[in-house]
Amino acid sequence: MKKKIFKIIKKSYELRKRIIEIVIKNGGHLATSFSCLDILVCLYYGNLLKFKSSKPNWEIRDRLVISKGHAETLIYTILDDLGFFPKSWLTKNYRAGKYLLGGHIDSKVPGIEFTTGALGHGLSLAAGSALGLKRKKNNAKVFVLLSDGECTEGTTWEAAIFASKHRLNNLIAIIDNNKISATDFTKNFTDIQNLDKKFKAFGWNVVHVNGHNHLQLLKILGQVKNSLKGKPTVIIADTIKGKGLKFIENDPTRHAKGLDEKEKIMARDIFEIK
Amino acid sequence: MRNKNIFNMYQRDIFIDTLYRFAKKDNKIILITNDQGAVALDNYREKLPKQFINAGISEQNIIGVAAGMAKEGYNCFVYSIASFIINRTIEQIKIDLCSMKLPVKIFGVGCGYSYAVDGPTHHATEDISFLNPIPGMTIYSPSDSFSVHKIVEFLIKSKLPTYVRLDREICPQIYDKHNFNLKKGYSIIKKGKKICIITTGKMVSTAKIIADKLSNYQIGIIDLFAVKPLNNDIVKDLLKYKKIFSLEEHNQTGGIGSILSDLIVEKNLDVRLKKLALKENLIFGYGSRDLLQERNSLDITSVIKTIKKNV
Repeated sequence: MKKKIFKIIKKSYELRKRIIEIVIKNGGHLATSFSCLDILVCLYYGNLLKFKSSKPNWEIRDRLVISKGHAETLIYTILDDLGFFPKSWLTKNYRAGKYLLGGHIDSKVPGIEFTTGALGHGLSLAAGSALGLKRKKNNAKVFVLLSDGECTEGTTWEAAIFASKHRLNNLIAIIDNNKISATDFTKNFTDIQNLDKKFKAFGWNVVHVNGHNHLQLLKILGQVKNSLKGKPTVIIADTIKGKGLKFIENDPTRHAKGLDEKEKIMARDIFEIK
Repeated sequence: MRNKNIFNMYQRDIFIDTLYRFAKKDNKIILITNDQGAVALDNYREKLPKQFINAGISEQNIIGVAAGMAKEGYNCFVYSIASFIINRTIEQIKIDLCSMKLPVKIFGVGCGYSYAVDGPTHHATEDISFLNPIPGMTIYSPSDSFSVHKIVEFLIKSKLPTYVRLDREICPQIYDKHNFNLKKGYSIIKKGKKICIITTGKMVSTAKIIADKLSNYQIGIIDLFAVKPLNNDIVKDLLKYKKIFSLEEHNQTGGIGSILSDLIVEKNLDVRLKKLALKENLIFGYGSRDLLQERNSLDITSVIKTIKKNV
């Protein structure tokens, strides 16, 4: 276990460094990518998500739906690292060149289940996938990554009702609960608190986790994946937007803003990028 | 169809009955509603409970769920009041269905003013204009129950996201198996000289009455039932006429009149078009369907008057 954790922490660092390189070159959604990075690293590299990069539509793969389509910088970096598409896509064609990879995730990219970017779509899509899989008697799980900001979309709760009624125990939602939306701390405008009580009231299993603690993440994700009983599960992962680059951490102005020239130098220094 | 007269049924009932015939042999066919009723639905729900989902009043979620199921290989048909399932879900239709080419088929009942007295909340008077610009969408606007039957048969195998706008009333029979050509997308109901009415849905039967009453004008009638994609072959039929009247129970902006107008401009056709449709300042209202049509000068007497004045 120690060796596994070490490997995963190392991978998280490497991917953060890679993302900094990419963002310096082509831009991207940096802060939100760092917010949910540790969660996705645990899924992809911790033997929790079943997938084959050579066969993106493998029938028994677990489905990972990214509802927060603006985490494209992170997802594309991971898919690149795992060999889902040629290296030139990320190096030459992300937000540049032929734009094979754009500013929000697209299902035409191998490894992406659904195109998203408009918020509040992912939980419905994931619920439909989960229901389809159950009816096909396919034991794959459906993970769906939501932002806490999109929990103010009505569709998120329409889907929550649906998933509960249909007892979608193969559905695991993970909320990247960084408490910052596009322009401000959520407490300053929607103040959507107690997500746990809300989901519980909608008939879901609710689990809490520190979204940057790899040991906890691996344990909880493994537990919920293997012991789902009669209900969909939501993991509320407390996270910090921008986690890993101190000077952007928990800064509500950082949603779409890139790094200025001075910050680029600082980021290079921190991650020892030549 | 078991003793039912398929030429004289509610469009919603023939849709569900036809779907049922295929669904009982194919468990990948799923019918999803937003708590919507229909006589034929009772039979479907009772016999195929595992292929029926009442998802409750949650239209946006329904399109997303249907897209998710479609991705897993299910053939999802969504049934709702037209105005709710279209007006509320444009983003889901654009992104979840069309951008990913996920073949969900939406059947909306109550096109135009068919929900007359229920008012603007229930009137589907802009559905074509909302969906026509979305790339990859297919739109049918059938004029009778037989054509609905043929469209459903076709859609069972279709891999395209589709919307079918159904009337709430029983529509007079227009077609039988000898004269309905689905692939052509439009149908010449009556040949004419110089003047032609191009129409859709239940208004086809209205156009027939008008053409009969104005028999000395020798008016042609075309039923444009495949609204999108438009079969450009229609150009050669338009060119046979000097004056075309588009007739539809739809907002004058974005309906079949606008679609024809675009075609005429794009192909630089030497033909004059007059749009007979719902007028922006008169659309919102309550009343019998006849009264609402009268207000918009779409009743038979008013249309006859307009035609006489414009030729």
